[in-house]
Amino acid sequence: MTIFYLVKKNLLSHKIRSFLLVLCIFVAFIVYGVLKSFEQAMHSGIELSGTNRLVTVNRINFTQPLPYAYYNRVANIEGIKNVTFAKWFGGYYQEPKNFLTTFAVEPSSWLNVFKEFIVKPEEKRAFLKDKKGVLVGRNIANKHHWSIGDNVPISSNIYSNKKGGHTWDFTVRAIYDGEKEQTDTNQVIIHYEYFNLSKTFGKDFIGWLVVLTKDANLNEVIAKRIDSLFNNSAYETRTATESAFNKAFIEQIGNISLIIQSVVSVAFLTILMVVGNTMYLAVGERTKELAVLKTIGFNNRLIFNMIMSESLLLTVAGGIPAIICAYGIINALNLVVGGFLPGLLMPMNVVFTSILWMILLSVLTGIFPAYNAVKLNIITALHKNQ
Amino acid sequence: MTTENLITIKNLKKTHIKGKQALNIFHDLNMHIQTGNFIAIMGPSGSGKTTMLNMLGGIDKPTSGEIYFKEDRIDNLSENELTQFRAMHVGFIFQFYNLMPMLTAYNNVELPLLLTDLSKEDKIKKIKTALEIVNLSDRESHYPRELSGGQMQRVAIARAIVSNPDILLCDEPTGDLDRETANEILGVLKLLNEELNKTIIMVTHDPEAARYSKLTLHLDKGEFNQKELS
Repeated sequence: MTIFYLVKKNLLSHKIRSFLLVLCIFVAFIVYGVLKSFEQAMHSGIELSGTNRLVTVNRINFTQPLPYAYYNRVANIEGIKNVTFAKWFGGYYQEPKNFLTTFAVEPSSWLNVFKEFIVKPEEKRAFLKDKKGVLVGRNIANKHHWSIGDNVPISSNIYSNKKGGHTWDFTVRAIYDGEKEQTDTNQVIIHYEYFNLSKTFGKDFIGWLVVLTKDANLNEVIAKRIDSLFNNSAYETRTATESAFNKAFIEQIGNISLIIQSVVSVAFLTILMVVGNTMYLAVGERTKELAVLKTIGFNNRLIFNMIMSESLLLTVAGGIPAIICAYGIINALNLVVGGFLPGLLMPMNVVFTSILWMILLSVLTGIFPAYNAVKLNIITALHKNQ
Repeated sequence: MTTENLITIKNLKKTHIKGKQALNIFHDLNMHIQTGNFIAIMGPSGSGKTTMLNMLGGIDKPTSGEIYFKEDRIDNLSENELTQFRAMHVGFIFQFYNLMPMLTAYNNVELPLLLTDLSKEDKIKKIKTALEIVNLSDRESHYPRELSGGQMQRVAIARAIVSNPDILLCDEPTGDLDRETANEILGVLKLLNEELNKTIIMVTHDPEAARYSKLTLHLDKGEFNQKELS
């Protein structure tokens, strides 16, 4: 027998109570792991934004189009290294539930601006050459079991084509990987030229421009230059850094961080009260046993460590499986909603903060019972209930 | 067999303060307890028998006076030093056994050895020996709830002697047992005293139990009246 065995036996002496406490902690850490991963996924676009990338959208709002001509006009502004554009296609594969984040772009400039899309050179050449070619992210390719050379029909829930339908036929010419784990590999990139010629309305309009400046310090100046260029036109623009644009986009939904922090805080506060109260009562019930241990020579430090270990063991028994489960849930959700929420992964910092929370929770719930056990008067405790 | 002074008490005074009232339990008490003795302390309720036992075992401190264990003064030790003193020199046996309900008889006996650096083999040997002495080898895997009162007290005795303490302090060890079982437990204590030369101090209300001791001390109004038994 070891001291750890004694700690474990103490916890298991009331199996149902310990099980319910562990369950309580388990649920709280699942909530924490899943919500924090969601929060980080929501903000991954901001974190991965290029420091010298600007986004130019219609001043009214980003759903309003801009003329295609703006692409060339912006390209001539001094201080700009590269410029590209995108048009929202509104795609799905076979059924609307198989949503695809599909952009019609000028492929060459797009890949020059978004260097985080890693494409094999031969596949890149094939994609640039074939107007009906499509560049797909690794996640999407895996999800739909697409491989190079596959013919894939992609439908639009916005546009119709000249054949009278909503479906365009494409050939998978390239598959891109992300430079980082969080890079969105759920996108489908098609040639704007092919799309523009074959659609029945909204021709020669684009969704937004993405500008790569020569120096991030020039961002503000260049943003002003772009917007002033189109002042008083029918399509005035608003230019912001990519991170500001992504942030504004997320904030349209609401203050996600505040909502998540509130839910997590309530969950942890409840756990703190439930576990803390139960630990306090549980140790109180063992007053006599603790007095006996002290009588036979267990010193205060050992008694303190035993109670703190009980608290830590309880928290870890609920917390670690919860984080593993949350990881599984996030991976499963990534398969379902990854297209809508790229970067939905459980980052390592969520794992680390979970472990820190476990330690903090165990300290907060264990410290008072442990302190009381140390201060326990042996004589009084031995005569309790006699 | 040596008969050196194991415990020496000098001018011991113990006062309980209850509200504004001070109750003198002992006043200028002096005594020697020799190694290998088996002393029964008797006396009316509230006479200070358990208080005396607690002070000798280092779980209570006198108001004034001195208590020596062999040559070392123990009444002025810190709480941690007293804890160490108890672990090394004292075995406690309580009226209500005070076993850990979630541990088997074997593990209960093992508890004091968790504080030692003994090897696993040595620990096993000591536990087995202690259980053999109290004649409970066949019950080592039983939990306290599966044992009778007498058996639980035997486990408590085994726990008290497993670390080979110099002195056993027994607080009403047969107070919760029937006559026959009480005699069995007292027989074990007598055996420990006579065969293993364990010094035993036993607080009891029971004159029959006191007959097993070598010396009975009657505690009344803070003073001992000595009665040596043959």
